[in-house]
Amino acid sequence: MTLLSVKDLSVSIHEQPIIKNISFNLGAGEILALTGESGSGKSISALALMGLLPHGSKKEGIINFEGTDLNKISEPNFCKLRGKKISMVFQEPMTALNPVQSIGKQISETLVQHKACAPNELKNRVRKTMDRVGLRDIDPSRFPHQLSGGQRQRVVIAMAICLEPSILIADEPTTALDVTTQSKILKLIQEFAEKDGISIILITHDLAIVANISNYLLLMKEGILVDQGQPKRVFRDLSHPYTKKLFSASSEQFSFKENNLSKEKLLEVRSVSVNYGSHERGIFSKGKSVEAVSNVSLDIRKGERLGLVGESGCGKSTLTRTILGLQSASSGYIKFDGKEVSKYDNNFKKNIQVVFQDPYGSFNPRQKIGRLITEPFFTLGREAPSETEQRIIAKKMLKEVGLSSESIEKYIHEFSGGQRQRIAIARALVIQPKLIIFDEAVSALDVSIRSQILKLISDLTERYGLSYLFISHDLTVIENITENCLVMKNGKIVERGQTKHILRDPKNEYTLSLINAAPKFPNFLHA
Amino acid sequence: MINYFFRRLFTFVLSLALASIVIFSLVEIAPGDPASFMLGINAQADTIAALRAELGLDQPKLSRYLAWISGMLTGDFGISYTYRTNVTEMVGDRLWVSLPLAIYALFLSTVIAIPTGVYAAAKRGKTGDFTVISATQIGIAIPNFWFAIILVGIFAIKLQWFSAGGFSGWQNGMLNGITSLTLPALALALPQAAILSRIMRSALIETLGEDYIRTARAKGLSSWQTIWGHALRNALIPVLTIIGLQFSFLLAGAIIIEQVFYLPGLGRLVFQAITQRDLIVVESVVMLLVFAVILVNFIVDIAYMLVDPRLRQDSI
Repeated sequence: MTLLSVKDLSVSIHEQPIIKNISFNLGAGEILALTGESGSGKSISALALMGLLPHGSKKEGIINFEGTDLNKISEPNFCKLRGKKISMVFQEPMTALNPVQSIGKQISETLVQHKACAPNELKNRVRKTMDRVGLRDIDPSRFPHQLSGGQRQRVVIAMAICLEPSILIADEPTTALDVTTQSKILKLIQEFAEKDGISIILITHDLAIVANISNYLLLMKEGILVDQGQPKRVFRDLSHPYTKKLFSASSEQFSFKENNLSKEKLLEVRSVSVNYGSHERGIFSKGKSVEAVSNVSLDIRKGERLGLVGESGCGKSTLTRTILGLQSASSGYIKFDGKEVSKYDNNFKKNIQVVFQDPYGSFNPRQKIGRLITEPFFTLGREAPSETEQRIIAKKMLKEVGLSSESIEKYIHEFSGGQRQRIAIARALVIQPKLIIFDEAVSALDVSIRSQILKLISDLTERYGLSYLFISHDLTVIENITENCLVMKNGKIVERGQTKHILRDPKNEYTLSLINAAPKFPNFLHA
Repeated sequence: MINYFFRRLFTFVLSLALASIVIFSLVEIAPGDPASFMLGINAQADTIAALRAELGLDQPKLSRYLAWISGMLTGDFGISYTYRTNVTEMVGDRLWVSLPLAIYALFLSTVIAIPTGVYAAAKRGKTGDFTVISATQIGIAIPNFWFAIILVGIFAIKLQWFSAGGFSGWQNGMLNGITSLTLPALALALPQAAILSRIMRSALIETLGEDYIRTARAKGLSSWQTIWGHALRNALIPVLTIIGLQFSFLLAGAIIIEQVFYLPGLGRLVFQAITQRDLIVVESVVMLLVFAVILVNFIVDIAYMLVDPRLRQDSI
């Protein structure tokens, strides 16, 4: 039975076409996956269905839901449908809740708005819904900031399903979550379809998730539906070149040359612990402190490519900051090239560079690329080459990372996310450091771009004989790009060794749970 | 929560202590000896010395500071050099004009600014928004004394609804007092309202772009319900800060308006005291104003806590 039928839906924002003539049907209890890379129009399609397009947008076509065209319905009538018949879960659980209202109040708001139950029953209904989404032990009087990301996402889901809607639209509901949490939330969403008969529109960029849980998939590219069908068929046939490209990018394994590791240690981190003072200090008392990194030791040898895996909050970032000298260690020491690192150590500074996760936030938008890339030369002090030479090196590096040398005169907003990450790599390479730290450097990128950047990193480091520490929450990335790796949990290293061995035969329970939770393409595809 | 409160309280007391030292030192450094000023240019050196002794100006600085502070704490502000009357009384009389005026103006400014700011934010990019923006532009550009003159021209001279100046005092009834403060309060409030309205608008527009607003809309709330139920309280945080700053300005910065409307307020008192080197009055009034400013900021800090639950918790 068709519940929702979309015909020739087009959306333009400020006269710019975003979605072009997409049509599809959604049956009762079905899980429909809407997939594609960023900017393909997935989220805008969802917002169009919800009637919540941003200002200045125009939509055309027919969205037929239970006999009414949602494109023609009046705003007050649409309000009566939202949250009751069609509801939505968003990507960012950290910001999707109102910080100044308790979660109970926010969940009950859906019920109150649609006059779903008597005021004295409200508490009961909220409790029941919270139990349903796995928030059994959570008090509804708590505020969003007191919950973890996964718990917040459950609250958002509770608000969306408390009236048992016909359609639940989930826009990248697990992208911001850790893998173990992700698998639990996805299971919950699957249950809604199977047990409660709620139809799900699942928006995700992750093809493995699509293959695992959807009944039907729509693949979008630049606002056009390029491929669709049952995932089993689509992924087996790979009839469309774009599908093939995405599929191979997300299941890609590329081998890199085994390096002959020298015995010489480049970086030596010994029993480092980092304590954070608690934010809540009294006037006279120091308050409790939190141990973010506890007794961590690691070595990076010359030419070694080391991975560091862990979920959010495990202390990865604190450890990076400590290695970089941006955060002082409470105990332990760090040696670089055999010498203990101090704060003003120039030899250390010019030999270590870092590439951060967010290609949008980590560049000064008011400086030209030339200036941005040559900035690390400051660390060389008097040894720095002349400005003309710096520009020549910068141009060369831009070419190395696959950009034109004219880019040097441009500003950062003129580049896409993948290009920005290339610029970040160029910036890290200009002074030819011995060690680079990649802090979730490909997490914000689409799969096809991600694999390009990973290739670039592996090529360049090989050519320049670099060592690196690659930090990621994504096991497949670590597998592709490192020979040894560390698994971190609650500030401690719980497992270490060769990447291949760890991933194939983990000794630690936590590592095993990480591997099991990571979405993988089901076996039928490989058969 | 209690921790937050006590930390704010501690800051409050510390700021007051520091401010008193700064004020005392500044007045000490400022040129002009009150005794020689009072006696005129032809006074003999020994007469001046005698008067200095009588005023206590010959005492060591530290003991004068301590005497001043302890007097303040017990409500004794000393004796005015020029008028030879009790400063506490002088200030008290003026305060009964300035404080209600400031509160009244702040009330008007808030009452005008919040609805217009909210309206403009809700209608952003449309005619309503444009109208509010233009009006606030004018409000910010025109100085308040000019507003005062225009208001007097319209409401006092043409329409004769209010008197053009002076203060009838509170003894003739509350309403009388309020009526005579209406035009000055309005003149003071308009430029402040223009600023506040803009802050309200931009804070609300920013809040309306937040993800949780979209969540609220997805629950079925209409756009006005979303503004009222979710956006406003979050957007009020920056607005509160500005309101706190404005109150201080309204209390102390009304000198020109008091002049235009012949109001016996604190601003005029300070102005006169400065020109007459009546340092004890200057010190006392400035200290009082500083006290008011710090107190208001303390209240604003506490208000943040009420608005934002994240500040309420003591430990995570």
